Amino acid sequence: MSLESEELVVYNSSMRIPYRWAAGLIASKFYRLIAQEKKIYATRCPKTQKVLMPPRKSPTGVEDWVEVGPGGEIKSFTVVRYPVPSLLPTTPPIVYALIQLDGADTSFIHQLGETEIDKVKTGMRVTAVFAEKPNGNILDIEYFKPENPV
Amino acid sequence: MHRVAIVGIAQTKFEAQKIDQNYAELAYEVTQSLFNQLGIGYEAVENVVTASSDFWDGRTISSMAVQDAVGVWLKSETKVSSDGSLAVLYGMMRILSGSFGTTLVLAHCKSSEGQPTMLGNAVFDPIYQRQLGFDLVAAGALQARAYLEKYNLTELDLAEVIVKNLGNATLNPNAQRSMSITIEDALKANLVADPLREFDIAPNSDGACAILLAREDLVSKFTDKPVWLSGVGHYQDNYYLGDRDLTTSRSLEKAAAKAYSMAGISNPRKELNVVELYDTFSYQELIWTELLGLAERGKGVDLIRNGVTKLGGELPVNPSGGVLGAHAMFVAGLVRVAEAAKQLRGEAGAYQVDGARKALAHGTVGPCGQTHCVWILSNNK
Amino acid sequence: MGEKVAIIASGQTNHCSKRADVNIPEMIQEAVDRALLQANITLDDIDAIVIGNMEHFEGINLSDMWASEGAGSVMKPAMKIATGGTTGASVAACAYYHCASGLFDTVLAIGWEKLSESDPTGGIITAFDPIVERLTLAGAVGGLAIEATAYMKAHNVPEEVFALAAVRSRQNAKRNPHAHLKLDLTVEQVLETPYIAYPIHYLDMCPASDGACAVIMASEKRAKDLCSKPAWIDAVVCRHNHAWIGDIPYGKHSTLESAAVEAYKVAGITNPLEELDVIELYDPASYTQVSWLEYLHLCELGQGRRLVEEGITAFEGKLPLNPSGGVVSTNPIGATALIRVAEASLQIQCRADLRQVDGVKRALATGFGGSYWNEVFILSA
Repeated sequence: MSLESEELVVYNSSMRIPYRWAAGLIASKFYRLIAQEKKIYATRCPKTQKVLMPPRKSPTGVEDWVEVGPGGEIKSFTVVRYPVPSLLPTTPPIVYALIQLDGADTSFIHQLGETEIDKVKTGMRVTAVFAEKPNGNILDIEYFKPENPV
Repeated sequence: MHRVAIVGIAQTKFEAQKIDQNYAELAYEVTQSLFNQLGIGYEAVENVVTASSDFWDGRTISSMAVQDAVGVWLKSETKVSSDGSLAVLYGMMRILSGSFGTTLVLAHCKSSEGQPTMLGNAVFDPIYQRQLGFDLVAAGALQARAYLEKYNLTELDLAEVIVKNLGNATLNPNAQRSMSITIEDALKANLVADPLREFDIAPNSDGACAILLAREDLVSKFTDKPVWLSGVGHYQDNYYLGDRDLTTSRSLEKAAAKAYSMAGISNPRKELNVVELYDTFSYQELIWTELLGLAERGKGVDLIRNGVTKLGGELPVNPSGGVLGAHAMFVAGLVRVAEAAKQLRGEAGAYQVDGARKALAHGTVGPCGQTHCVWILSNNK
Repeated sequence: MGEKVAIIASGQTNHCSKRADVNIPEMIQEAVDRALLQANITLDDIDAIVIGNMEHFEGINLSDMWASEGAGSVMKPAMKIATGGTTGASVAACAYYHCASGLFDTVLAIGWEKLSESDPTGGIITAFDPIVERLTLAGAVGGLAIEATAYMKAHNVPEEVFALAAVRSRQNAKRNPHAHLKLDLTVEQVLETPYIAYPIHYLDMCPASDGACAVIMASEKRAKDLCSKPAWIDAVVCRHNHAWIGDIPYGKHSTLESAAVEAYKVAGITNPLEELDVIELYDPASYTQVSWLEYLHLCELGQGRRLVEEGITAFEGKLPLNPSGGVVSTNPIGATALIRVAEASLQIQCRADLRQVDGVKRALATGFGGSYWNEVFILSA
């Protein structure tokens, strides 16, 4: 029996598994400091002395917390032109940037807001805008905006 | 090394959606194709190493889907949950250990059955990154800009890579993107994630690939055109993109050094005849060639500009069209190994590199190339 | 067999129902640090890393990428293996082949899972074919319950025997600081708990745990240099069957039997009941401590209850079964089968503290998963 292509079965489904991710002591403290003090802290690696952002657990068991930012510099960026389904209310274009915060030796990824897309440049100074109601995730920093209005 | 050889190769055509085949049927197609070429059956396969992704398959233990197709009733099968190039390595280890004489290595993926942005987003950790909605294409775009700006390259340079590779893909009957495009077409294509446009990014493909590995003393039972595994290296880099210098890749550099050393290669540019790279994005061909020691840092573009890496050039890179021509997750690295082996067997048809004796095949996995695997293949011992 | 390979050290987290104090890489690092401490070496001494878990249990795609933060795999050769419940054993096998191939001397094998972070049954259900099986019979308990029911009927074994095994496991677990369920129970208490699926009571079944296990393997020379009492790996055998639930031959656990028979042959064992000193069986439910012993050829078919009822498999018995408490007491899935291998090696190395069985010269460990797949390891002093 041969089938026409419209007769081929494609079973549409999705996997809906609930997740509860433990942030752990280090990331929990990172988010608590954001919520309480509106300050961003990274950790210094005892081996290399580099200040790591996001913070990491120390092999010595004692973390060396270092305040970083809220300002920093864009090391690279992109403008995503496609929608990100069911992940965010944000609609494209979305600007993502690798940002090296003042005092940190590594960069981390976040979004830019309050900016004109065409004016974003590598090397541009940006600063954190904190969320009004923190939830214990990276969007407690709602986005970064240009330090000098563009 | 030279104690294990590839003795058979099979792959499906890669397409955007293979609506008439499920995973097992893709695996069955390549297994049967391999067996028919070699005149063998399942009994010739002593053990199986598969590569597939539970996320892309939407199935926990994704190798369960292909157990009957690969014929492992009361045999040993294991699944590398990573790129197929690493499955080849594990398949070789199993032979070198003395436990098995042959290994079937098989990878399958149907990219059409998942949602690429969500699958890519799930690679990013839920503690510090995932809520941003970031995915693998956006990650590639950050790497692309960092690299282009560091070396003053432009979109035009990326377009040259696209035109070369997609042009090669038109000669490859298994490629998905089979199109003659011009520089203008590439530059006019829709911006997806600046600076990457549609053709800078590998397509999402459905397909499967299989190779049979055999121990030295068994090789002649299967083929008179063995392709010897003569060197391999694999390394993993840092996870967070901001911990790395995205304009380079120390894991690829180290993997290449190890593979060259094992294969006794001191001047890869002169000694290699053909290269198959896992370039998920156009710019990656430039970075990867530099770290493989084929060009100075920032000068990968000269290989394109001077025609070194075109088909017919001094050292063709991706004569098959590479990953820009077809990209099935975890399959693509195995296809690179298979394509390199085809070149060394003189079976690459319209994209054959004449007289190829030594080939490099490369696989990668993870955002912006976190893990790399480099293979050196040779058609004589 | 190729190069001789031994386990020189291992480390485990203290497994429990929820580790909120650590995220995934942090939990992995605990096990890695403990293994390195026991081996008295540092990460610099590790040549390669093999890691495994099941991605859908935590919802982390390409989970080895993020895990690298805790696994110590940054700038090392690393690959990921994922095969369901057998994952930990498949990881151990892959690490074994790394060394046995002669390509690597010191290899770190890591298995982990944080089952508190999702719905394990939800994840397991997705192991089955999405169109034919997922909507009907799927998940971990269903298939086990069918096998247990068939076994009870065929050999006239009452539930009380299974409950006795469950009681012993939790008693043994009290000797093991790493175990999850350490309970003083009676047979009546087990039987009073509700059926999850007849005939498996709640306390007959394994828990869902958070935990990680790391095992360090080394080639012969390295093992002798680094360790005064290595646990040598005499046999590694894996057996699969087909993936369709209806294809599984219930009432004849052929993959376990075939793997065990081959492992005994490789290790030169003719009378396992006499020659083995301890067994670490992957026992997802208590009945397997009765019926699966038969497929390990420790007794005739239908006689497994005798081994349990006469105390032969009790801690003080002739052939202690799961002195660690086994899977029924601790189950971080991707680590579970590696814990069996680690516990067997600890017994050989006389490092099992309160759960140490006297005079262990030979140990057997198994991994179980997928649709009735098995991996069997035999270790010796």
